[in-house]
Amino acid sequence: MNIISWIMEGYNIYILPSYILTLLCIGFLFIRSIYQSKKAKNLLEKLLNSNN
Amino acid sequence: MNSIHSSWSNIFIAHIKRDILTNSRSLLDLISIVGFMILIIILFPLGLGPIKEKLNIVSNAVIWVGLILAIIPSLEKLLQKDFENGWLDQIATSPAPLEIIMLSKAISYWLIMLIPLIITSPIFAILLDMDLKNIPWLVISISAGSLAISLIGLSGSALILGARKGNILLPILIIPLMTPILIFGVGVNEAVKINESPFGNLFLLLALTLIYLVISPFISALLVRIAIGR
Amino acid sequence: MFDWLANPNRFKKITNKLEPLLMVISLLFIISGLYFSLFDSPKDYQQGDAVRIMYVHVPSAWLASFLYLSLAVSCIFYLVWKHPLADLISSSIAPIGALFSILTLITGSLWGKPMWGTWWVWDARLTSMLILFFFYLGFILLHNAFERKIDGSKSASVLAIIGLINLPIIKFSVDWWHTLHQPSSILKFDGPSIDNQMLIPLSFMIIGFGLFSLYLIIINVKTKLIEKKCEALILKLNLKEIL
Repeated sequence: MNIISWIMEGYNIYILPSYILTLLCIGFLFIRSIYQSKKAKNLLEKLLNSNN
Repeated sequence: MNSIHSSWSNIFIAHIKRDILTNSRSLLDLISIVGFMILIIILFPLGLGPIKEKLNIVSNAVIWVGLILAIIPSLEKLLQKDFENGWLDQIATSPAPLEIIMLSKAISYWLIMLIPLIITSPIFAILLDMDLKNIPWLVISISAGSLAISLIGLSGSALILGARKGNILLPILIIPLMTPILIFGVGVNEAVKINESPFGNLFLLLALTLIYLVISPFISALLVRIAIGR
Repeated sequence: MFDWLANPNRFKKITNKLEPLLMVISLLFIISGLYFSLFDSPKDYQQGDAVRIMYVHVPSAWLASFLYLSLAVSCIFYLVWKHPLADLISSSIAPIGALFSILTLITGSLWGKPMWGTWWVWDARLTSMLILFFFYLGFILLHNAFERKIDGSKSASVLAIIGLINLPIIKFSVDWWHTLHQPSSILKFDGPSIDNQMLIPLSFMIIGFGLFSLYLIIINVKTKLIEKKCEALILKLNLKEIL
């Protein structure tokens, strides 16, 4: 209840989505980068192993 | 003895003649681009309702937007046919620089595709309930802007030369490049409508044309060389 | 100097040491920036709490523009000097810059509605930021639209350089035309006209986002280097089916 009234107070309903959206986007870029990096490293290992 | 410059201009004019001959074989192409433009314009009264005041307000913008949209299908084919049948490779070995030939392509495209649209533009103005006294300025502004459209369109079609999915991509690339032309072109007509001087926007439009006249042949030639080199 | 950095192994060695440091420092800046902007900075005299959106809107806008400049410079390096890493750097910058440009527009809308009463207005700065997004989008699409990757790289690089004309318009549009958007307050000839207490969270957020973007770019370039090596290996081993 307290949180909801805090969200509705003043301009928070505009401020909070801005921050949350920004942090989500940056987090998305971060996770995507790490995921692609892991995928590529796994592929490389697999190829190097199948070579040997 | 011919100087270098006279042979350049001969080659330039020869290319324009060749492009006009190959592209205006069928009267059908000519009719279809004007037809496409008319269809785009028809959509607006159908959508807005034939209320004269509404159409009058949007008429300038609709004609310019229609102009930009109508040339997109033909822009894709501007360089593609020549690229596929090897003509561009031949051109690259010509004594005249590729930039001059690209300029000739832009000008021939302007002559073939845009001159008909300029000539028929009073019809579009009437269809959209524009004041008759503004029509001369409409023709002037479209003439001033259409060369710039042709030049930047040439660069755009050179960008996607040889791409797999070029047709979907071309509008996304071309339209941001055309926005200054659109803004200033409509600006001329809007200024005339409220009885202010259109010369500010007109000179900006001409300045844009001059800038594109210089940079577009170089960019297109660079891209064509990249495409040929594959 | 850039030739020295071009060797992929040297790049990897240097960035391996740099990576964790960058991530920690950038996260520190972001977290402290968030603290200052959300809790410790003053309310604006006219705008109240809503000014806090500035602390995400302005960094996003600066980064969108600065990343585009870096993108175009990297493309020039690729086209003119054929620097081997330049194309990888360009294609790593593009998604980050594109996302920041959309973020600028969305946070700007969220700021504009309570403050100036409208979600959107077609003035020069908003429109040119939207066009910037389309240049990013065009770059990414063009890069992937060709059969061979190298063709896409070259074509997209030319597009990126053409789009440079947009950047001065973005920067100076608010000074040339007086419209709804606020004029420049920071990068002016006579120094910033913004209060120090607001300048600190703003700077922290800009530096934090910037360093984090650099970190992401480095990770993505290394990923692409690994992918290149994988492709070469696949060709060498003549594997028709991978996995």
